[in-house]
Amino acid sequence: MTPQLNPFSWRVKEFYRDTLEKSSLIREFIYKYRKWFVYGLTSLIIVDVLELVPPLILKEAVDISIGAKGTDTSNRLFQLALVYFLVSLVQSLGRYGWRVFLIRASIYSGRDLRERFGKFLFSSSASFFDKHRLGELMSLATNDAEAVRMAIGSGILTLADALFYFILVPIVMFQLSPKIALITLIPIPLIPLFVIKMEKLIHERFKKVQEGFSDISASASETLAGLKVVKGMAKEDFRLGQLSEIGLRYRELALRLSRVQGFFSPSLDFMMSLGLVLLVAVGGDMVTDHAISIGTFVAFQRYVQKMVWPMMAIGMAITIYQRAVASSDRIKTVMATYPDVKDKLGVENRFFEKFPEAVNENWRTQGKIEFRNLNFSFPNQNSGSGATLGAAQPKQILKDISLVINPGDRVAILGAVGSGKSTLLSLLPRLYPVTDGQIFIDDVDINDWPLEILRAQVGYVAQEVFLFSTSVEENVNLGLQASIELAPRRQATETAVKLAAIHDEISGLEQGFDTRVGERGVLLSGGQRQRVTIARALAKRPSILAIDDALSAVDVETEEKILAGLRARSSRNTELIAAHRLSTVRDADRVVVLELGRIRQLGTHAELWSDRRGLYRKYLENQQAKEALEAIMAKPVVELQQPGGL
Amino acid sequence: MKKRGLGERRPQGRTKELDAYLEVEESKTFIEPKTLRWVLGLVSRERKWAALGLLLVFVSTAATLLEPRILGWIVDELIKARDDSSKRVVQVYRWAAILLGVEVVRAASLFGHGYFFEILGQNVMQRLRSDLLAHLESLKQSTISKTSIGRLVTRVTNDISSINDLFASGFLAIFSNVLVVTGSIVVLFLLNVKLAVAALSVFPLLVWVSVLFSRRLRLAYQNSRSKLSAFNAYLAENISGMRVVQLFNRGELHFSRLSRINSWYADAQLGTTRVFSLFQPAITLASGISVSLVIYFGGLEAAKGSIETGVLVACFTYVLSLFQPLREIADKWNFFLSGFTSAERVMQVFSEKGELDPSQLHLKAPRIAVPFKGEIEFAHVWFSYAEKDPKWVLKDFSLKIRAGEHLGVVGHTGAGKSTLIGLLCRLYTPQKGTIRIDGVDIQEFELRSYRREIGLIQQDVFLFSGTIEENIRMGEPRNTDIDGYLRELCLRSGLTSLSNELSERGLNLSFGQRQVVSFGRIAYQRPSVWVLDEATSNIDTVLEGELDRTMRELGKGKTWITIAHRLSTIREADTIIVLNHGVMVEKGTHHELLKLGGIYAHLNRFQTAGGEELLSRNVNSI
Repeated sequence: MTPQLNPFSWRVKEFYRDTLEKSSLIREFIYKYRKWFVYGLTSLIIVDVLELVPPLILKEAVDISIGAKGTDTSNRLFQLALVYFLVSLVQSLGRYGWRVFLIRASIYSGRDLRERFGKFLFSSSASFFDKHRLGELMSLATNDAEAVRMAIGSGILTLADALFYFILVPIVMFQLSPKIALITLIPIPLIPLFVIKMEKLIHERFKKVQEGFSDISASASETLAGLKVVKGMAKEDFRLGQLSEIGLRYRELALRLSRVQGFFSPSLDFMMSLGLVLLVAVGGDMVTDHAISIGTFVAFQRYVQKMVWPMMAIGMAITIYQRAVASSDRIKTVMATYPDVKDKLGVENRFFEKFPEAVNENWRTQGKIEFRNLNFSFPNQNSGSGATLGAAQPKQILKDISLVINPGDRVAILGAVGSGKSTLLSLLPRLYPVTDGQIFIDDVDINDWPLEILRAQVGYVAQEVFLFSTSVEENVNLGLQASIELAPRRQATETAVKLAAIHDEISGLEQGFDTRVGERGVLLSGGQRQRVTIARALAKRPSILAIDDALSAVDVETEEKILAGLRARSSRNTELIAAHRLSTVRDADRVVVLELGRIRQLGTHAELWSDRRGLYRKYLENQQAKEALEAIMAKPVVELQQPGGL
Repeated sequence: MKKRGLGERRPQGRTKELDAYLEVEESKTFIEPKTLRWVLGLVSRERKWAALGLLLVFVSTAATLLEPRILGWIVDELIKARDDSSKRVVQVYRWAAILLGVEVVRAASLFGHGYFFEILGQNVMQRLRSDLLAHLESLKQSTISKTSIGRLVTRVTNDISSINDLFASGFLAIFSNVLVVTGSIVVLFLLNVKLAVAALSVFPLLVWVSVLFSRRLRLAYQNSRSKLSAFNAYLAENISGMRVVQLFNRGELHFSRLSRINSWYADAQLGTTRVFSLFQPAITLASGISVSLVIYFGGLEAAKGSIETGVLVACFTYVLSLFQPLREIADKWNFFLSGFTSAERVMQVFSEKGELDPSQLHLKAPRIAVPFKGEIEFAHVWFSYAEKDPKWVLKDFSLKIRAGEHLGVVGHTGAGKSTLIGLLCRLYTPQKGTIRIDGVDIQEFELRSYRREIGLIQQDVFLFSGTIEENIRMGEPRNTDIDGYLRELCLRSGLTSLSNELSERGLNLSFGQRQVVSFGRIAYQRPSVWVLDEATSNIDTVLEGELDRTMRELGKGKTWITIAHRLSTIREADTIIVLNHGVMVEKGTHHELLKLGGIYAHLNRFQTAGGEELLSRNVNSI
């Protein structure tokens, strides 16, 4: 069936998302913290209303001092000063108030949004992370969340402040003198237009500067990462020249930004002073005509200066809001992805009916695995948009895989890069959805296993090593229940680490198992990292072990020791091991040779080896040349030089 | 015990497992004279911009201070004009014109000093960045690998930007605001001493509050930055390792930790807000007190007639303009300090010693290497990676390679093959013994010119971003002759075009394609000695043959060293040596070594015979 969506319903959905849902994140948080918004905005209104008083006080003071030459004015002046002081006092309380309430609301909104996004990430499945890069997700969690927070905090604040001013100040101005008010307010409406235009320009150029900055960063990190090559070929000057070129481009971009940014606030100041000039030109005449008092003229000066801010603020608020809507849209779009791997409804109850013992955390399956007509291709990256017709069929990674593995068996999987062996192993713990064909564990379809129980059973060790930057012990303990007490926890770590043949090396470190391994484990060697991941998988005592070429950096002897150790245990795991090395493959109960997603050969080592033209034979012959060299050369020279050494 | 600052709060329930993410950066509270001198040294080459910028700061400050005074004069003029209607029009319009002029000058000079300081900062930054990278390039490989590349990149990018901020926003903002404050104070005193004293009575208190504020703010910023970076580090790590998190059923636990750090960050942000929300009202209140005093005393004076009304109006504005700059200064002081912290970090990098020991350079003028004949001699070379308590990787290694000879090297992992190459490329210096080329100790050559003459092709090929062609030429001029060969090879390896951009550092290129790039680089470099370190072991045989043939053709007559584990690769070599645990145990041609019946012969038997027996027995027991 083609995933053709009804074009009409698709449009309706888009329309709904574009127009109605867009600002819902912002609205939602405002609603959630509405109480604080009410308090905050009330404080703000108080501050703004009081802000109208000082010019009037000044007006009175001026008029008193002019009109009452010789008479005793100290009483009136004292009253004015007192009022002014009281106004400041209330204002400062108000300022404290709106900050505490509004900014707090915005900080909590930002926290909630990040938390929600984090929760979403933790519930997303592997295909989501294949599609979205780390940088993109981090940018959503930081920059975009911050943009939304800004709209809720400074955005609302600026907008409300601007609106109050915008209404209140002209009212007072018209009260004082309609004529002057009308004329001095002429240049004012131009300001928001100007601000929006400038903000847009600044934003564009700012983005360019940021790009330039990351170019510099990329170039420098490349030079340092490839320093061996750069030095070996004596290309220091060449790389330096490149960086300098990028740097000069960055300088140009930064100066371009600086030109608009530097132009912005002086030009606003200048617009304000145009208002002042208009005031002098018009108001001057009116003063001399005795149409208004000197005090009124002075008060107008203050009001004209005060009108610039709301105009600027409206422009800023619009910009903040626009960015926030775009960010909120980005976040919502990403969060609209549903995980393609999740528990079916009621799966736990059904599972516990079948396996009542599974309630116990220590319960382990027998470890029988069956792949039945399994096909797999990675979930369509373009899903959701019905418009991409005729897009290439997704590449099929696994084709018709059928295989039964008995409990306790070791199966080696052999195949070139791209043969599908990694994918096959990653399906066991359901990193990706199994939809075409089935996988059974203990005769139960893995889709009918609760994810948590399934993943506790399967110890999957990926080819790509990932360690957390915490201590060795915490890394190994990763799969243990937090409730397990210290002693058994230590015990489990110890056992696993010994099995992974890394116990002595770790104990030898200065801080032993408390050693922090650094980002992604950089402080350990490649082989140590791999063995820690093996230990990590073993510590949770899985019944099925799936190791994806995770011993490549470990030397042959150690690898053999680890693998032999695994077999020697009383409770054997079922093991699936993707590997290259002869020894690994040879000792397996069965070998599967994959090519381009199909099982090409299946059997014991002896069976497959006897097929002289088979893939298995050819592959191993290549491999052996290298291993023979290592094996022979590792021996002391003297013995080898003796005649008849064979 | 550290005193708890206003802006920071000890996070509740802080636990060990999150400590790894909570690295607190130390930021300076004072400026060391050494650092200051260094920074001034950086500026000294931009004297022109600095002088222009500073001049304009004075101009804009003067204009800023003039504006209220002009408005005051206008008021006075208007008062006079009310009684004498004959001169009113002229005077008022003249003042309006002057006001306009002042405003134009002010806007222009505000723009000007911002822009000139930006140029200054950008120029300093550009030069410093180049110097820093050049220095990093000259450092020993071991010094580089000791530090994480991410941290070094931060030096080149963020720290240098922060030094730029020091000029463009830090210094400029502080300086101009200080000028405005002092200017206002001076003008106030000039206008009327009594009023000035009244207005400034609360000012010292406020300065003290500002200093306090600045310190609190710094702590709060620091706290919030460290919590944010902890949040980012934890989230980024979990995104990268999400498969592991989910496979180990840790989602819930890790999410609860993330959410804990998230709350800490919100608390830290609140801390910053709290500092601001106390400081801002304090300024409002203080300015309220000042202005009330001005209104009362100024009004009295004006009523008495001892000052003009215009002065009262002007004072009102000056007093208001005293307070807001304090906030700016207190805020920007932190940028200023963090600029110096960055400067110190950058200085630290500069103090790391480079590869070329300067003392060595003074002894002898280094020779510039010209194309060698290519006679290489190792004489009793001992080498260990550890200086103290040496574990010898090469032991008393002596070997002579004739010019134009082809040497093959065989050995197990850790036998010392790559070390040999590293020594030849002068990535390391032997503890004992000498290496000579054409009879000259290689240490005597100028390093870069020497390295140009040694061409190394390794198994791992590092690709830079850009096109394949750029990766091959690495800045060399185009050579159609070589390009002809390369085009052929590219086609064979499946590369359709040389001018395609590489994505993600060429992760989509096959081993063979990467090797073609690596080979192309050497072809353009035209070195005297060609070194192949397991270069073709991962390539299919057809392409390998093709590459090999082309290389021989272009490197004809040069000295060749090939390291391989498949003996077929080096069968044709003039001399083959076998390395074992740092010792050369066999030497000779393919046939000589076969006759010798040692390790080489042993290996050869396995690698050619197919090794049925090998597989039926345990390899290690042979």
